Amino acid sequence: MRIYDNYIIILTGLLLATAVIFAVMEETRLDLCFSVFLIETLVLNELCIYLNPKAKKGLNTVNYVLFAGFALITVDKIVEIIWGLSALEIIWSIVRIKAAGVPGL
Amino acid sequence: MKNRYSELGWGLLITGMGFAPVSYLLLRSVPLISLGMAMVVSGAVCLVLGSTRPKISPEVSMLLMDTGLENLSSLLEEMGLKSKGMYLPSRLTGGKPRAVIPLHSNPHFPVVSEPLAERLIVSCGEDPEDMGILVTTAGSNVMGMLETEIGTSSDELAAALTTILVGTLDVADGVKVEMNGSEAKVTVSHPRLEKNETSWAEQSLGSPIASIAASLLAEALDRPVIIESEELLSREDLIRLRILHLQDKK
Repeated sequence: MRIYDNYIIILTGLLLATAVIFAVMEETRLDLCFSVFLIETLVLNELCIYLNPKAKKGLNTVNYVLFAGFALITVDKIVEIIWGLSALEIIWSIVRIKAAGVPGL
Repeated sequence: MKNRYSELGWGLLITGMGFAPVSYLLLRSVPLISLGMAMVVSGAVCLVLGSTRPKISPEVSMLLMDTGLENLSSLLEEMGLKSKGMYLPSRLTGGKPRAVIPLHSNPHFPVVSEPLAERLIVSCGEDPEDMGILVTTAGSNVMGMLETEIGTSSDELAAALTTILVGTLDVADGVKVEMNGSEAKVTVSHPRLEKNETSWAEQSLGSPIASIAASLLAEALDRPVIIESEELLSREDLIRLRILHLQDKK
């Protein structure tokens, strides 16, 4: 399927280029990186209007999952602005502490 | 049959899901974490695309299509039918768009004004001698593949044909449609279905790509359509279609 091949090549190329650009810019905000990935995926899905309806439905599901992640990040940022607490930061800290207890980490 | 998209999807997804936490916990490297995230997103997309691929191989589909066309060719040869097929919209066939091959198309094609009976041999005109065989073509079943109703302008027709031929069936790289009164010129770039010039079915109904174009045009314009000519150039398939008016006795 040439249209699928082209779609995958463009998407992976875009995501890889974004990751490389962020690395060069020494960007350390993962939430920004995730948001850019989401926007790129959404835009590409909208541009590929000739994909078959089944593929479009499937890609919409991926979009919903990614958007749920974006919504989570947004809510976390709002909570952080209002109460000064970041739920995601707390979770990551717990994971890091737990991982530190594992020999070799 | 192995699905390479699913294999690639699982590979990327599993690698990404392992790579991102390891980069976070061991390497503390944000660029590598973002690379892991990119792999997860790409993997999910590949998995989704893989799940939409048919379970049978293209060779099996080709085999089935060739078998159907050969049977139809034998039938036409046995009946000595050489007239061009007339593609009818679903309104005139009661169900999906089909083609009727009239016994006589000289001096004019029969005028079909009422829905035809759902039989093989049908009366297809006002004259008692207007008889023909009603067949299902490659284009008959593609209407279900379109999400929206087809428009009547050349751009809308080109978009619908591109969705079918490029996006769904993957038998061409692009489609252009030019409408000029009762004539339509469809240019299909890089067609990947070969035309069998010796087949009686293809002489009467055109190649599968032309058949799809004619069915779609007939359904969109709600008028009978015939394939006037089909020219296979080096990288293009040039299909000329004639739109017959319902009450036209040309």
